[in-house]
Amino acid sequence: MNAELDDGLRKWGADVDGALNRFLHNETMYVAFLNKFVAGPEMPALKVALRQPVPKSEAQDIAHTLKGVAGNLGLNPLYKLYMKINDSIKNSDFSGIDSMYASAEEQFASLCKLLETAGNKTSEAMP
Amino acid sequence: MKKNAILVADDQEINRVIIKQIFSAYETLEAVNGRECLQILEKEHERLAVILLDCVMPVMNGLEVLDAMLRLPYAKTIPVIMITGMNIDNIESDAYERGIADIIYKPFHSSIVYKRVMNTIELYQHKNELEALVQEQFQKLEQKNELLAHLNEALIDSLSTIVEFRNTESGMHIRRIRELTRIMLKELQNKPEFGLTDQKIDKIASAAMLHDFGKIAIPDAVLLKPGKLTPEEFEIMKTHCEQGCALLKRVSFLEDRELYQYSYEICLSHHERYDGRGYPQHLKGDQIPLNAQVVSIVDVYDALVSDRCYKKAYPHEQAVKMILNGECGTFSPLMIDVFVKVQDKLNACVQRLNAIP
Repeated sequence: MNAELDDGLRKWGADVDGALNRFLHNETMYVAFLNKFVAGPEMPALKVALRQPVPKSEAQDIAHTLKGVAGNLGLNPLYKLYMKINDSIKNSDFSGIDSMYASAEEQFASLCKLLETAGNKTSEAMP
Repeated sequence: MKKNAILVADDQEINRVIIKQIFSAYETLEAVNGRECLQILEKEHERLAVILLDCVMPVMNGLEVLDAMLRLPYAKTIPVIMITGMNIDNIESDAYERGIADIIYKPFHSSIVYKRVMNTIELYQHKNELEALVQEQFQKLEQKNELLAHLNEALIDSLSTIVEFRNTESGMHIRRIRELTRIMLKELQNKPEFGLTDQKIDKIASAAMLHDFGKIAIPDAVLLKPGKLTPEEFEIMKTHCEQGCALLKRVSFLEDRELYQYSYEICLSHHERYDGRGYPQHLKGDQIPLNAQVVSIVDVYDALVSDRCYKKAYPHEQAVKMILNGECGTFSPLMIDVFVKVQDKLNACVQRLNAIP
């Protein structure tokens, strides 16, 4: 992982050290999974699923998945938002869910941009 | 078979890949849902050291996997560690109730996962080894007990045959006593205060065969006298109870202490009477051991319904009447009650054994 990406991720709010510890300091694998995460279908799928009627079980499943992956990748700002969305659906409290999703989308977009500009998206191969 | 594989059931590739990295010394088998997990478990259970199970998965979730595993005997020796996200209601209690060994929350620290999983693997390895050892020892003990029981049975059979031979009685008397004793005891099993297990009943029934063991020590002139015994001769005959105990003490190869104890009590007390007018110790009421009371009443019944050199056999109904009328000794109300209840079984047993050529 190059210094630009490392620094950018830390500024973005990622717990890079914790995540790398989890990946046994295999940086290549870490970056590969970051790229896989931003390219995955879950984020747009969450937007669609949140529009579905109550009990929104599909949205809850997707939010749970996103929370797990973001947590493993040390993407704390997103991890916290996915957790809030997940809890809101579980507690049937949908009042702030749109703004939560909007915040998550914003964080997600800035992460995508960071990965693009740092030039790692195509340089890291999947394990 | 060496347990060299770890099964990871998680729908998220990232978790499976990280775990695979952490446990590179093991072969990692991967399942993307609960159903796949069970399929792999069925095929590979012999070499699985641990199962790392996610809770929320498509098709079949982690708790459903645990429910299914409870019904699989081969799954009992494999520890399951649940790896799950937080904020799932009651997950801990639900999972522990279903037998998991540990629970780890995501996102996890690799080094902690490694240590906790390895600790669990070692713990279960020791536990499984100990259980196998205990099982092996238990089987050996069972085999020894079985052998001992056979030897004791053969020994009692031989000793009682010698007594019968000297006594010139038919060989069936002692076998009838054993079976009649068993019938009485089976009925008494309904009274939990006596603690009569099947095993205990078997032993008392075997011990009953030695009730007249002491007759070996009675001189021929008394034992085999065709006519009525004089009072002096009767006194000699009465010593067979204590003579039997003295002989038993010398038969030290009767190694089963419980069997020895029952044989001793029966030898000594099977001629005692509930009213205290029996011999040799003139015991009264419940001073007389229960097993001796049982043998006493079936011995009288068998004597009444059998031919002897000095009398013909009485019919069953008459024998029962004589016992109930107190013509052949006094017995406890409990013995009489049980005797009346099982009288048809006693009669059938005597008929069956007498029909054997």
